[in-house]
Amino acid sequence: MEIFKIAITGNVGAGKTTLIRTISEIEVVNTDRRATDQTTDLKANTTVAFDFGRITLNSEQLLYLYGTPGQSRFDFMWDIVINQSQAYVLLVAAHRPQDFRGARRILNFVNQKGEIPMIIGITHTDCEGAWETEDILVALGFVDEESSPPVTQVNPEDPSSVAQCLVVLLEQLLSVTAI
Amino acid sequence: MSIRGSLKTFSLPELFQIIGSGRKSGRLKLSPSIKFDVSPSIKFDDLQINATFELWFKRGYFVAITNSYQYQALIENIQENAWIDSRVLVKNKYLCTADQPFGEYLQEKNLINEVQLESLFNQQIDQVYKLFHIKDGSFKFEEVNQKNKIASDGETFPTKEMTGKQRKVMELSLIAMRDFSDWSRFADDIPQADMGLRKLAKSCKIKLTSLEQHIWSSANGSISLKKLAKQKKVDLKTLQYTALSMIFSGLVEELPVVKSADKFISNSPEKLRPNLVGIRNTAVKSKAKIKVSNSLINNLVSFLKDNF
Repeated sequence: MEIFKIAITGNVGAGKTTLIRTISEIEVVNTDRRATDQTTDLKANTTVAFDFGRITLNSEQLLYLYGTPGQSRFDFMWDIVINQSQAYVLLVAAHRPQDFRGARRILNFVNQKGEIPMIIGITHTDCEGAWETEDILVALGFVDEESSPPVTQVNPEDPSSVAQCLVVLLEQLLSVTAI
Repeated sequence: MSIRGSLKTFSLPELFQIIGSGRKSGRLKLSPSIKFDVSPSIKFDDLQINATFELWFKRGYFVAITNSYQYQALIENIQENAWIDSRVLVKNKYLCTADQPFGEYLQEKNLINEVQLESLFNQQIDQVYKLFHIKDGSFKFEEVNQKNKIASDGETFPTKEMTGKQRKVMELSLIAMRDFSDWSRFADDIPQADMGLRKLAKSCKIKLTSLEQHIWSSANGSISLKKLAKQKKVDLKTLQYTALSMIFSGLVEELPVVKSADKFISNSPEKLRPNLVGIRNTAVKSKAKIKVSNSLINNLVSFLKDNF
């Protein structure tokens, strides 16, 4: 069985749970539920503290989606989720500039744990007070285009938008492995 | 770039960080709320409640400040000091071209000297420092276009209020935050005790305080703030606040400490440390290279495109 694992991370309210729920074929396993077979390889025999979703491609291939814990403090659960993932999406809510610093912290945290392929998914772009993508990138520390990872706008409630976001991530991964 | 919001949710140090790191040119309008709550130690005798302030920046440098209650601040300040006869001053105001900073023009004409010009600029900077204490209010930052104009109202750099001098916004930010006594509004931003710091700049030209210098020289990602505080024998909170001001100033950024490898590195001879850090980073990266078959990724892409 081949399994591809993607972490969905971001501040509270960025849309992590919604995104996973939108595209998962199973009901999303949520905080404080007993671990299931699929989640035990992240945290065995205990309660889970993250969202988990799944997509079955065929009898041999699966996609797992893990949402990072909601709390801002990085604990061992973050380590587990990030170390198990092969790529990640950092969701940033465009209308919550007060969270940009937190998103930058997450970026630094994940990159320090091991540089895995990632993209930035900008959510809530239609909300009042939403910042332009270019400005959000500066707030996240990407002052020029060359240093910036791929960025895409995503509506976590829209299945086609979520699928497109994941495609951008996977194509990024393909371009990295092609090199 | 055009951003607006509340200083409660996006503070002035954060705005300065964006303007500085993005090397932005434009105008930052600040409107403190009527009941703006300032530290009692800061006297706002020359700032008026209900006033609005316009701060101007060029490529990440602060160049001028204007306010809604002083029509010709630069001229008034020169007149107050009686450095130039008023009639001569007014005459030269009209002779100075629209695109030249008035202070620079006056210096070129030998009407004021370098020390006087510096003093005028410092008066503007003092106003900026005070604005850092405003906790509530609204802001709007707009970049200038290629013609050096603000798109929304056609306004351009206020050359009659400009000395021709400039100061890095990151430097202003760091110095302004040294006077903070109440950090409660930054509670969510304060770096955690078990986190480390990494330099964002190769060198630092700002004159640092002893604690800032200690943080700067130790910012290699291998030591936690808690340990740093212990080393320097300072209160952890004090160190965390100083670290945050250095983060806002774009000098360092926080990141998790890589414990086992770093302990080894920090115990090694100093001259070997750069090499060891490099080896550690390579190890971290190679660990991240997880084998995934291209067929799985390609199937995933096709599946997502076809089914959603």
